[in-house]
Amino acid sequence: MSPSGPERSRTEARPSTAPGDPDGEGVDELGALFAAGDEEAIREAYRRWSPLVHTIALRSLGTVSDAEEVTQLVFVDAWRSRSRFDPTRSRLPAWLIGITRHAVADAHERRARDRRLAAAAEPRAEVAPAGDDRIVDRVVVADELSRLDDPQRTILRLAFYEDLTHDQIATRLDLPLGTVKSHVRRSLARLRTRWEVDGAVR
Amino acid sequence: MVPFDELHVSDDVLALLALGEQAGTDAERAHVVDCTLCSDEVTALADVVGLARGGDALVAPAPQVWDRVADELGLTRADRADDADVVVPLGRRRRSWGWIAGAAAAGLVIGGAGVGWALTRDDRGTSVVASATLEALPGWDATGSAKVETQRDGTRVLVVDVDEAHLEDGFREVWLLTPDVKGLVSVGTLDGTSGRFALPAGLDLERYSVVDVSQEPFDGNPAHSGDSIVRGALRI
Repeated sequence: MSPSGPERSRTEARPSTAPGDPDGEGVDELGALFAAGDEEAIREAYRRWSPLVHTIALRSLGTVSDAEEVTQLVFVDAWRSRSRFDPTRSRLPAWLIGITRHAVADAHERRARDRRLAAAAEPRAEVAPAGDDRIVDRVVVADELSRLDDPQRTILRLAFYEDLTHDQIATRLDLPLGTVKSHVRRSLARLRTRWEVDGAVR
Repeated sequence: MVPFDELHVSDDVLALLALGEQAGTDAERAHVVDCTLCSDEVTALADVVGLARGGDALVAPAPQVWDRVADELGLTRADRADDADVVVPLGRRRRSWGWIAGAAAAGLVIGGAGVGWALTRDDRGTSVVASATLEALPGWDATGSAKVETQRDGTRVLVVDVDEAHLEDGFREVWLLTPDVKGLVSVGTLDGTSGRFALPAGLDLERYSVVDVSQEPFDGNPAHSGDSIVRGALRI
């Protein structure tokens, strides 16, 4: 038992540019370069976050061609509207995810409209839901999980997908019990922080 | 409600409870039930656990998506050529390991819950437990295939075939990479277009699940040259 205040866990993985930052190193500097129109910044942003954008679109829309179209649109739109991105107020990945949400919602709208046109004789079709918000959350958490170093990533995967208890994990990986417990705590806190930083923004 | 001693259950125990374990003592679990602060923490962490359990691998967009972005934005030519880091690794200069990590974004399925395995027996008593289609990296035309066979005695062999014969100075080396391309294991040199490589018993193929064949110069440097010819993820 240890005393803890309401700020627990948030004090642990506070967003910063330190190594282990949930958005990768130098994310603030990258945001500033992006806003300033440095072409290197969009290349790096694409490298870091195109899988994230593409996967959100793919899970929401279901087809690779639509997901690719959304990915293209998001990065083109982000670059063209970079003057509206304020690096002191938001972070590049969160901003890209915001654009992705809109692009995905637009794609759903278009589909619904196409369906209505195709079935003009039918009574007015309902607008399709603009995708499950949890899709973004799940993809953001999966992305962060993939960014964890080992043994943390393996520990969490064993806990998540193989339902092993922490002592089973300690035995399997031949690690001290206390080490596994603290990795579980810190890594979960990190997933949560990343989700709060990038995913929960609506 | 604030407990009598104003102490809360440790974060370690709360994290394990969020994973669904029967962690902590009876007294600690009873405290969590009564304490809003502790139970809120477990609920929030359990939410993250639920998201993780419901998620699966990230899928990188195909390499041509970046080309379309660069075309549409009219990014400068120099910038696009320089973009070798992402999609066009041409030239034979030794690159830093960094671009390979970048190349992970160029067409690999990354992350995820691991490789699924299926057993297909053949007549020789070996089982193919995984296979991969190897696709050329930009700048190369070769394609190929790879499979992992388990022998009767339990040993594993990686079989690699690449259709393009070796044309350049230097040699080819076969690697197994982690999907995020942060880890790599050399499994041997490829002479000609086919090779069989015995895999170390302890090598985790769920972790090192990507087959990579690189062009290596004879420069005495055992590191990956950064010049990959073909690559593919092992799967069922």
